[in-house]
Amino acid sequence: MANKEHNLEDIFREAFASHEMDVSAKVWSGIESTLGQAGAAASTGAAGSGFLAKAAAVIGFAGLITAATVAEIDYHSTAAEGEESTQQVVEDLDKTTSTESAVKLSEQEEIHVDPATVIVTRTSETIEGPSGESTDVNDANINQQTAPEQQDGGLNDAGAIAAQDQVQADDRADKVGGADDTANDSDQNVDDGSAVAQGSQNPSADRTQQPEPAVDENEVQASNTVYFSHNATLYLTPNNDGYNDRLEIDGYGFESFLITVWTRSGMEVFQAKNLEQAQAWDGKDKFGKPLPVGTYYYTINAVGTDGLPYKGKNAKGSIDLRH
Amino acid sequence: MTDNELIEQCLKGDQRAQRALFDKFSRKMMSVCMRYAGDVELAEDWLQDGFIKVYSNLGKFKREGSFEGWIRRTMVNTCLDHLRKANRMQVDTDISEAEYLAGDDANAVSKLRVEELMKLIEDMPAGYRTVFNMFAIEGFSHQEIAAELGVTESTSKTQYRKARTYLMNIIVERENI
Repeated sequence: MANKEHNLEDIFREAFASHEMDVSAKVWSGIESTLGQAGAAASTGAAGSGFLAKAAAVIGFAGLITAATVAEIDYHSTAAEGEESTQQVVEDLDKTTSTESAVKLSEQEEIHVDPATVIVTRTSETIEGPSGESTDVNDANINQQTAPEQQDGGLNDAGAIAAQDQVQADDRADKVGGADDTANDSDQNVDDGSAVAQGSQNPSADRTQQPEPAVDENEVQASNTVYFSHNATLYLTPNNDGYNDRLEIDGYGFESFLITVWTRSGMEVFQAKNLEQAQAWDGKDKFGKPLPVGTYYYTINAVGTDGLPYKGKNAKGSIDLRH
Repeated sequence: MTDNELIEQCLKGDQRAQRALFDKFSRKMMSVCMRYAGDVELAEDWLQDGFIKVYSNLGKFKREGSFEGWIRRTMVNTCLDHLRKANRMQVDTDISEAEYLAGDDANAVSKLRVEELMKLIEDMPAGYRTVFNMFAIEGFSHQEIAAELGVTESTSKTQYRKARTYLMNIIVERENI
C-alpha cells in the first residue's frame, strides 16, 4: 500500500512538473499596463513604450487572444474564409451559445495544452457531428494520407504541395471541431489567413466535394506522442541583440520533422528537416539573403513515434519577421 | 540568453526582457494557477498578479536556486493569498469522508493523461484541492500546509487523506465504466 500511495503522488507531480497551458493575451496586456504605469512613474524612456505598442500590435495580429469573444471568432473566421463558410461558422456559433454546457466545454477545451488532446476531442466531435460536416472530415483524411509522403518527399515540390494542401486540409479539419474549436484559440485566425493565402495560389477542388456520410474514426487520428512548444509570439528580429534572433521552437516525441515557411502569397522561403536547422533559422531565404520584414506562415509536418501525423494547433501559424 | 541575463535585463526595466520572461514561463505558471483556481478566468487573474509580483520582487531572488522554482513558489503564494482573501481556504469539514470503495489503483492513475489529471483537480471540492496541490504536487509538508492554511497539522493530514480517497474513488469508478 505504501508503495502505491507513493505512486499516486509521483504520477501527479511528474505530470505537472512541465505541464503548460495556453495563456490568453489579456494576461500580458494586464501586466504590461501595470508595468507601464510603474515604468511611467519611473520615467522610462519613450523608446520602451514604442516597443510596447509594437509588441501589442504583434499580439493582436498573431491572434493570441485565447479568450476571444464569440463576436471576434465570427469576424475572423468569416472574413478569412469567405462567404461559403459563413454558414458553418454560424452553426459553430450556435453550438457555442446554445447551451451552457457547450460553453463550458469550450472553456475547457481552451485550456488544453496537449495538441493531441484537442485533436482527439475534435475526432469525437466529428463523429457525432451533423452529416454536413463530413466534407471537412474527408479533407482531414486527405491530410493524413499526404503527411507520410512529405516525410519521404523531403524538400521536393511534391512535399511542398502536400504541405500546402495540409494547410487547407487542417484548416477545414479545424472547422470540424465546431464550437469547442472556434473558441479554442485564435491561432485559428492566423490559420485562416494562411489558408486564404495558400488558396489563392492553389485553389482547392475538394472544397466543393460532396459530403461523405461514412466516417471511419481511425482515419482522423492524430499523433499522441508529439509535443511542440515554441514562443507564443513567433516573431524574429534577426539583429543579433540576443532577443528573438532565431526561431524558438522545441519538441519531442516525433520520428520525422519538417518545417516549411511561406510568404503570404504561398511562396516557400525556408525549410528545415530537423529541429536544429529550424532553431538556427534567422529569417534568411534559401540563398542566405535576409527576407523582407513582414508576416510569414509556417507549417510543421511531423510524424510521431506512434507513426501518426502531428496535428496540433501549433502545427501551423504565422511568424512575424522584423528587424 | 540565460535566466541570469534575463533577470539582469528585467531589473534594468527592459520591457523586451520582461516580455521574454513572461513568454518563457507563463504557460507553465498558468498550469500552476489553474490547479489552485480550478477556473480559467480566475487562474488568469492570479497569473497576472503573480507575474507582477515576480517582476517587483525579482531583486530579492537569490541566484543560487532554480529561477523557475522561485517563480513557481511566487505563483503558489499568490494563489494562496487569493484563496485566503476569498476565504476559500477553509477546509471542507462538511464533506463526509468517502469510504474506500474502490481501493487504491495507481495503475489506473498512470493511464491518465495530464489533461485528465487537471480535470480531476478542477472538479475537486475547493477544500480538497488546495491541500492536495500543496502536498501531492508542490511537496509541502503537513507542517508547512498547517502554517499556510492556519489549521492544525492533523487537520491537514485528515484533509489530505480525504482528498486522496475522493480522487482514487473517482479514478477507479471511471475506469470501471
